Amino acid sequence: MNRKKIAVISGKGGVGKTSLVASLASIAHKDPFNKIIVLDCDVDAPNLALILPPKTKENIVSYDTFTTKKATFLEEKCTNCKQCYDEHFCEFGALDWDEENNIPILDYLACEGCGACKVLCPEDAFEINPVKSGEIIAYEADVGFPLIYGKTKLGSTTSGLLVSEVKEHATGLKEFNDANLILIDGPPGIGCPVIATVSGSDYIIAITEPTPSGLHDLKRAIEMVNQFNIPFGIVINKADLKSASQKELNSYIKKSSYEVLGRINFDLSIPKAMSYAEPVVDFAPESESSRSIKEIYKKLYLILSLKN
Amino acid sequence: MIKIAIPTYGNGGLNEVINRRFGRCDTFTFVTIENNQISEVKSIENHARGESGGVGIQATQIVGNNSANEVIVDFLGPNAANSLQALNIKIYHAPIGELTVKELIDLRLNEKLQLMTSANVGAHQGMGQGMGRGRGRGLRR
Amino acid sequence: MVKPKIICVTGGKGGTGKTVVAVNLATMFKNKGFKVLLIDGDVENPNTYLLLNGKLKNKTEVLYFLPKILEDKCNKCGLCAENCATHALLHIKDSIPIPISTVCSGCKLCYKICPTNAIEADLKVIGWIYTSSAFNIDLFLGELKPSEARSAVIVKTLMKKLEEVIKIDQNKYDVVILDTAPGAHCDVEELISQADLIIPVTEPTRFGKLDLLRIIELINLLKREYKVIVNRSSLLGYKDKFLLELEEKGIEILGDIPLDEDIVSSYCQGIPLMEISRNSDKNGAGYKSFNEIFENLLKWGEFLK
Repeated sequence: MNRKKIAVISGKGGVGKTSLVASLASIAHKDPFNKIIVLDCDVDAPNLALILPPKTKENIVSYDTFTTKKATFLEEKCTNCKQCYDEHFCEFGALDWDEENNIPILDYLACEGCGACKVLCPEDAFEINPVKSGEIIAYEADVGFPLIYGKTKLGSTTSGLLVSEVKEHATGLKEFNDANLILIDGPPGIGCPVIATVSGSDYIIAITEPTPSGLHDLKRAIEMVNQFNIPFGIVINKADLKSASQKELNSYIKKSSYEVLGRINFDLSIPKAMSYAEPVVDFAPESESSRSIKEIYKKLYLILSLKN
Repeated sequence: MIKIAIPTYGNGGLNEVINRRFGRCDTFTFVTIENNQISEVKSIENHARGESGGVGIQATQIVGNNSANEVIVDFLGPNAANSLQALNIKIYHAPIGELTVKELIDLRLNEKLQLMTSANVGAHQGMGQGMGRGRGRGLRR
Repeated sequence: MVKPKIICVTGGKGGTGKTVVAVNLATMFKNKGFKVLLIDGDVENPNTYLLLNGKLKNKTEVLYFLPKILEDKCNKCGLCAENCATHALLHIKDSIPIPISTVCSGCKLCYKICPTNAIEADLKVIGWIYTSSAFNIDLFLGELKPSEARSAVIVKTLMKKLEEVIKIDQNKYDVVILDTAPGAHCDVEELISQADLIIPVTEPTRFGKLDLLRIIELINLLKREYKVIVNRSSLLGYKDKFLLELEEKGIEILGDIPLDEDIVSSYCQGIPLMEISRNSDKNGAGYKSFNEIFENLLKWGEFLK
């Protein structure tokens, strides 16, 4: 199975990842040769499900994940030796001392579940347990392909692991064997959940806009992607924005010879489509942005030889 | 002497098909080659497969603790790739298809397999990505 | 005021205009004679200095622990690897463990439990802190090294720097404004938990609302006070409906900012809209909204007492 995984990232938030993924998914799905699966790996703020809702409420699979570990203090075992505090067992600032009661206090949110307190305490007064880190939700989207997203439980520190769980869930679907294209909506930034999204992908789409932060963040995203040796292409959103950064962006692209998949001019059809919770290629198929996105898809198709 | 580890489904063995996901396979099948012939076949359960993190590293430990000096795999995450390389275990890429351990060993003995050196691997076909491209620079025009 | 008041500008959804708001709030406080520090806590993509046409100076490295095995002391017992929660030590029997730096959490447990003291601290650079100043606003900025994952460490380093500065001179700053990354990840959580007042910035769309509700959930979890700014409020004519929806949920609004070409130009120019020397049109919709928001903020935070 010639299966390709395409992840869409941007560095800067709000430049149009989710909107583009929804439209590409719609176009790809309409091609009868494709069997696609769509993932939303922006687990700290998943939005794709708003534009690609489930077909029915009945077949939604959802379950909790337990990728986060946290420490709990077992007071009955404590001999008040204060070693944990004095000898700085915890490197994450999650262990403080309660002078009044002469016992340690654990900061649940700061705890990373590393287990140091458990191993080092001479009285075994700490234990480490998995706790709910988030949820995975999977369903058949109303347009007809499987969609999976993850959502972190607030305060959990394992966004990266939850992203991996989302990808893992995809491999267990019955549709996985026949799927030739996995489209992934990535998180903003370049940190741990983005790295987890990018890792293992066959191709990356990096979206930017011609503003100072758009370009600045694109460069950083590319620097991160280059660590993984994965080919990528650039999409410029709001491409006709009047901005001093236009020149800079164009010269950056020229100098680097990076592939530009396409340019999408500013088009009110996009926010309008979002407000109707539809991909723009379905909401306004004749709009300029829809035409640009279709060209982007065609280019991707060629680059990745998306044939079975 | 060469000892090759291949991630497999089920109970493993020469007739079992390769599991393309190194860290999540059911078993590792270890095949010892002496004088260009198979001298021993052993299957070990991959007890790390259900863990949520560090699976690639734990799987590599199983491979290393059973003295394999080569692996034949398809998809390898960066942790697994870094770990295998740290142990100087050679990584060969399994071509497309439902290949059995025996078929892969034959390909290996006939020098038909490609070595992988990149930390991150996806499906290769049709993209000309290959290995040894150094730092990826996107697709050049 | 003895301790500086800390305001955190956040939002959940990316691209709502957090940084533009943070920079202009800082400018308005400065205009009013307050001593202002702006901290850019969006360490994966720090942008504030771009909006201030600023140069980054005083670069210092942020170092993170990595274990280094001293081969002559190591007895190959593997105790370190066995107890490593993230499996960051690769250990094959009878061999020296190999650190896998990409998954190391920096907990230092291996360093602490090695029976032969064969582990010492190796430090790797995971990012940098810069300090700078522009338009009479001091700036601390954190930057995560691309390919590194631990943004929260850089954020914590920034806040520690603030703590040190305040310890030396309690009156150095009257107001500190924190700009966060998008999302609700642990680096954002760290900044919210250190602030007195939180200002989520949203946009009047479905996505904006969904992410706003999520960030409010986090703010409530951390027991902080907040008031919302609706940016790009004139987008598609949804403002009134949107503000009503928020009101129905009991969400308090600090103000709203309509779409304004002048805001975009100031952002691209690198001079804040509210900076006096820019001579922005004082009758501009954006300009007037910012002034109104600032008045509300002064009241809410009791800044003029």
